[in-house]
Amino acid sequence: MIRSRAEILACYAALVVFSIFVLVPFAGLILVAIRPSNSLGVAVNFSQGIHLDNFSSAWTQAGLGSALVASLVVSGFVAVVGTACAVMAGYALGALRFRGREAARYFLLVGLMVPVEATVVPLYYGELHLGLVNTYAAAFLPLTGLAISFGSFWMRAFFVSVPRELLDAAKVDGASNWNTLIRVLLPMARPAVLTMLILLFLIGWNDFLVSLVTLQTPDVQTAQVALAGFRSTFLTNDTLIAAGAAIVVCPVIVLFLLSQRRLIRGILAGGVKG
Amino acid sequence: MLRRRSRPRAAAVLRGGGWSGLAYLAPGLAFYLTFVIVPIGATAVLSFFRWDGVAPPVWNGLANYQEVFSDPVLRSSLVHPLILFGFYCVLPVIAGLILSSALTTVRSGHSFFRVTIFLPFVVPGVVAALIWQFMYEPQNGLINVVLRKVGLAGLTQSWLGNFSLALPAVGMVGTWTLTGFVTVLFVAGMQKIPFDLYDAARVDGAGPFQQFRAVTIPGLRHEITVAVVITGIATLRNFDVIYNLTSGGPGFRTVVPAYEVYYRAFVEGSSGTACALAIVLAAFIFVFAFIATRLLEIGT
Repeated sequence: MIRSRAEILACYAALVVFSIFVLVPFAGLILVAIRPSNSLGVAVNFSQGIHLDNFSSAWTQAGLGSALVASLVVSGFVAVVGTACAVMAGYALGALRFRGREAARYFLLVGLMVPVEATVVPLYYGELHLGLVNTYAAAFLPLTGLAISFGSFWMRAFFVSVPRELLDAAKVDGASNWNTLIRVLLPMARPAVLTMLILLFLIGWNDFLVSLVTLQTPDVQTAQVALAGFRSTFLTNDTLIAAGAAIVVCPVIVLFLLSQRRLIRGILAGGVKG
Repeated sequence: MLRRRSRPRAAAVLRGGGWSGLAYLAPGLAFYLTFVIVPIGATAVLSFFRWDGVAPPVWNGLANYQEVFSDPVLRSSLVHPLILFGFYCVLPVIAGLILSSALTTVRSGHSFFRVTIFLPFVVPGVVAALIWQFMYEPQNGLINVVLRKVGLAGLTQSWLGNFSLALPAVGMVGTWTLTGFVTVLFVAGMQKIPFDLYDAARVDGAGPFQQFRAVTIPGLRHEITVAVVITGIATLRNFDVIYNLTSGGPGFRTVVPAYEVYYRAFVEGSSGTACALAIVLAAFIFVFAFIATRLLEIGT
């Protein structure tokens, strides 16, 4: 398409202005994080020096290290177990024919719209009754459950796109359903499965409500919950809070930059909040 | 001969199938039933009881629902999403239309802009709230510091402390977070619009703006629907940002349903009311998604 020079300039202007709107708050966070501890004001003059030691104090003083481990355990479980369940469920819904398949599909469809808020009260008291509260499982089990619907439909879309002849050929060659899935389909599904793993990891990492309610003691708290607790614990120490926030967001940004093409495609297909 | 014999058998397995498929669904369904379906059922049951989470629940009829619609704080928590909707949905969709058109027009920097604009969407809500708390901070926040530097000290505000500005200030976080998602969604949709349509419009003498209105917007009908549904649900479910930025204040001016569900159940100990509100919230989400899909897919 032919565009006039003015049009193209206007396009760049719009993109640059919005990029500034996106990036300035990140810059603001970094400016707070590197100023001298307990000082006020945005460190626009660098004469006070850049204080990278804030990051290490956020790590040690606030116990961010153990919180990051908790986040890793919770989101790792959600990613691995959620993906395994989703691959099998997606295979059943997309490639197998059996009684009750359509019913199962509609049943899972409901889960796409159930908000966590509508499950969290009984979830907490149920887990309290079972003695699960304040264990990692208290957060990663429900988060996995909440990821099943989305994951199954995402994997189903892949299995539906597999040519029917391929499935039939595998059957004719005598492959069982299980072998067809493991030997024939999974190698083809590797990109879809990898995207699924990353998406579910992000869902686990970014969760707040479930972790807040079910992980109440500092030794099991995830990074998000610990960070939220910073506000009350270090009320006057903004530098520490900012450094902590920067540390917690780092893995997400690195993961995003490394896999942005795949990830954006996945998020668009599933329409989930990362 | 061999082929003929094996073929019907294979077809029979595919068609009849029996219950074997359920075995593959079982692990996922077990998680789903235990942690989604049973809890939401329990929420529905508890919404008819008065319960503090400790003593045995007491039957309360529809009183919890009456409270949801008569309690002034809960009522305003149901109204606030309407205002937030402008910032979480309307603004991102408008900005998304402009930015996606711009992205498909420019020849270089495409991938830089795409990644930058999308970035806030993957930032955890807690971090987004903290980032904006530093922006809005009255004394040293970046917004007020810049306003003073450029001689607009008169405009400086206690953004989150101001009764009428706090809710829009929260909304801005939503615009920041969701615009990138909407933009990228629209870019994907625009790539599916055939070029011939634009050529035909140009031959008919349509300028860039008319092309946008006559070709781009109708072509993006499906993407606009998806964007409205997803950002609308994000509006209704806002929790992380409220909890970490305003805690519903000042003076209940930023309370939202999800925050009140949490607060009533786990801070105040009125779990029955919290459950009734949670059911109302879930119903709003279902109804909103249904209506938005119907209106937008048929309307345009």
